[in-house]
Amino acid sequence: MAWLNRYADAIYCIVRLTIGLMFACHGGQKIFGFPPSERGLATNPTGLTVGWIELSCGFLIGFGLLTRLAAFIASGEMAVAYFLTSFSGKVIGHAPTALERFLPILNKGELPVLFCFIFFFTVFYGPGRWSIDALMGKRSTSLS
Amino acid sequence: MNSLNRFTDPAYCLMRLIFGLNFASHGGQLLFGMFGGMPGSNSPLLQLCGWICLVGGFLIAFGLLTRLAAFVSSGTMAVAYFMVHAPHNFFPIANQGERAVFYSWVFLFIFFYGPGRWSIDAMIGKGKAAPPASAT
Repeated sequence: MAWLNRYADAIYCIVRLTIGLMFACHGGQKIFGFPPSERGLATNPTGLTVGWIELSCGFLIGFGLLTRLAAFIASGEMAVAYFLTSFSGKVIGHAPTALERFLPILNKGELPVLFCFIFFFTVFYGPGRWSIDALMGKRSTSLS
Repeated sequence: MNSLNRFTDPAYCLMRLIFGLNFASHGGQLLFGMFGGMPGSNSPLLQLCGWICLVGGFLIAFGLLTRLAAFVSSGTMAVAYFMVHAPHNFFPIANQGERAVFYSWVFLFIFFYGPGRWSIDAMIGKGKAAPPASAT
């Protein structure tokens, strides 16, 4: 089955694009109200900061420009978001039990966890072959 | 920054563990009503989905038959996305299907990348399941 590894990098780039754009959608909702959501625009400084990080890092990761840096910031932001909102029980709306603190499926924090770990992996894997980084500096950012 | 690539494989294995366990917890939700359960989970289709989530999730998490489990799980999540979520809205963020997109794509990547070095597959067949040359 090792022959499948030949396509791993190409698939990785598609995954990076999809997940980067989904991340940018979260920022777009907070900053521009697009895609439409009931929660409305972000008004407080934290929400605006988070929104701009999500929007810019999402597009940077999606198209593979400064990939590692953007992924590092996005991963950290998602870790903070998880601990500030899901882990502390803000999302479920009551003081969490011990089980609810540690199971993302119970505290509704699955999405931040998934974003956090995929971006953590992106920091180490790098931009991949279909990315602006790879186009700009063939030697310095290629995977070899 | 290529020095970071040395840690690609450990980071990959950690990600595989987290994604697999989260995916398995959905299986527990569907099959056993754990974690608050899910409405309508007694239909045969959702029971099948639950078994795939539970078994596939644990296999992926611990890296046993990784590629096979990831392929089946990825397909399941793609079907789930288009059957359940896609009719509601074009954007994954609005149709609640973001996690299905996540699991589907990441498991497709796992299918191609393989088990990685910290996995049962790698322990069983040292030579065959070594970390891929493309990512070093």
